[in-house]
Amino acid sequence: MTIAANPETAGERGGLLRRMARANWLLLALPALAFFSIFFVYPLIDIAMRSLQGGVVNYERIFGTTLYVRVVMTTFEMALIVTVCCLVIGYAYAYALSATGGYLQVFLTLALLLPFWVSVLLRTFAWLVLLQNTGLINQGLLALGLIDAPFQLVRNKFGIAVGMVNILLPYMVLPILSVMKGIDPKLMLAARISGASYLRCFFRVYLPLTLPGIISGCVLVMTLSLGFYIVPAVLGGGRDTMIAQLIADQITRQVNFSFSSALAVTLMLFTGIVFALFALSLRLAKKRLGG
Amino acid sequence: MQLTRRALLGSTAALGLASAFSGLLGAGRALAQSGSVTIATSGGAFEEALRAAFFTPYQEANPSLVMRFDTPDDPSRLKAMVEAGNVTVDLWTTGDYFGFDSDAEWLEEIDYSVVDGDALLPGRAMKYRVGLDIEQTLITYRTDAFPNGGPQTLADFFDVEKFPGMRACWKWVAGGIFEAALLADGVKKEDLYPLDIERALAKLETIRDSIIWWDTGAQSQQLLTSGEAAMGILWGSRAFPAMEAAPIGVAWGEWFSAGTWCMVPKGAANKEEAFKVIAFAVSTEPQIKLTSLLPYGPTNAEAAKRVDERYKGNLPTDHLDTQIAIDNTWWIANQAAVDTRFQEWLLG
Repeated sequence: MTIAANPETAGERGGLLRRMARANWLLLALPALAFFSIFFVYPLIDIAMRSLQGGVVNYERIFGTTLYVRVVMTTFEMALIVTVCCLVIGYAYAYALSATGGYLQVFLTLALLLPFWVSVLLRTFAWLVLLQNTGLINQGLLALGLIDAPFQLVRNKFGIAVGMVNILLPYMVLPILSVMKGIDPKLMLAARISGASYLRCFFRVYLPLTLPGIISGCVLVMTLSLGFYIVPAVLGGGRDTMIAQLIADQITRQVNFSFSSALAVTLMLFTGIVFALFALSLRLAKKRLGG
Repeated sequence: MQLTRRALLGSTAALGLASAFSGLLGAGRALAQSGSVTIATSGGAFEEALRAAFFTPYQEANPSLVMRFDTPDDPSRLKAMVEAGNVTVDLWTTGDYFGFDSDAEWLEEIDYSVVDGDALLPGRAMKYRVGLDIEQTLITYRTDAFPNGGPQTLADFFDVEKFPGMRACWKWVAGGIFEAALLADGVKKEDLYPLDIERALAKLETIRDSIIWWDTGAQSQQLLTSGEAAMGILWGSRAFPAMEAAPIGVAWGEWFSAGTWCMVPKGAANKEEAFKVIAFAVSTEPQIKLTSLLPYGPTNAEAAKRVDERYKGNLPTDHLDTQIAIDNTWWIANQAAVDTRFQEWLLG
């Protein structure tokens, strides 16, 4: 009896402990939950309510023309360009960082993080000084006689991409780097010994292992890109308006809180749809890999 | 009235919350006490000039008054304050596009028994706001790009054959660009309103590829001083500092008048004091003082006749005959629709 009863109570106790542990974790999350409820969820609901002031007139105005949908599309296009550029540059950079040591690693880390300490506004204007027609690059090339007329490097998508990639690169590098650091180099060695080529080794072993870092980096950069305001305002042209510019315009100049809220909600909806599709396709891909 | 236990508990909880919040927001609340006045400005060099001309002399005459300054001056902030019922600013200064009769919800009516509205230039004493200065938005150009003389009129500004080069224009629908296009296209200034939006856009189309749009004043100044743009339509507050940094000239042939206005947010704790400060700021001597500090004209009629020597000749009040007044009431009614069309046109 005692022998039979023991595992039973042990099992119960284990369940209780587990449940207590789970409750404790929830307690730990409570301050963060409270913070987000007050300073994020509540304002968000407020914005959604404001956007509905006077019924759906604001949404009729948004979807009554092609303007806002086009601007949202430009915003996503820009965010996608920036994410891909960040991924290509950031992946190589993260690999270099994880593979080197000593002073070189310190240098690479500083080069990545130092610009973080300079304000975004200042860096954006600095790019203007470099990239504009009368800027350093164009004047240099003209003086060397390499070009006859200045290259258009700003007031277009290229200018915006340069400015945004510069600001967002660390958000791509850091998550990828943390994953790369956890990869056992022996795995690559094993693959090589088994006769895989460098390329095959990379695509079949290394890349899949770094996938979690790539995904979090991409989601981070993409999300941040969607709300960019000052970079497109300074480095973009008339045709490359991003949605945050229109929202800011509605708030600061037209002083229309209700319509700007509706624009913000629209951006959020589109963002939600895009990320939901992304998550769905990721699950499908995982299933297929698993099967 | 009988207090139930639950109501009591509820109200104590509410009180507790309220006091916790007022603790958080205490810094702002404390300012709204009597014997004090808090003034919102756009900050920077402009605020310094306003202080030197108006507020510091007023403070010296009223040493017991606690005077505080706050920034930024965005009307959106004023609206948010009034909405939240936490008005910490008593005197608000801001641009042309706010403070109309349609903004009554957010503002106190100006007390013209305290402020001498009759001493001001026409149109500067309105129901909810008082004109503090007259500013200019005008054609600014690189003198080195046009050795034989730069663009003098808006027709010149739209003439890319005669005056080649990039043009810096404000990307703000009610900032004067539509008026500029129509005037350049031959519309008389008295026939401007209602604006013919499609005609203006057709005229803008002719110089589309030569326009660099700017969003902030700093951008416009940088575009001219770097030579990235050969000309622009700039605020005086940006054109004259740019003149000191590069070979730049201004044209008074046709210019847009603008201005900074004073208003009192609805529910301001010290509105009596705010009216007194406004009365002082628009009186003759402080208004003359302002013209020694900024290239802006006074709104006080007597001061306009006796401006300081420093910017004489480049003050808006020296060129009142060529000014083009933007009809802000027309814009308020039509802004949303025109802006949608403008943004569409910008996308191409």
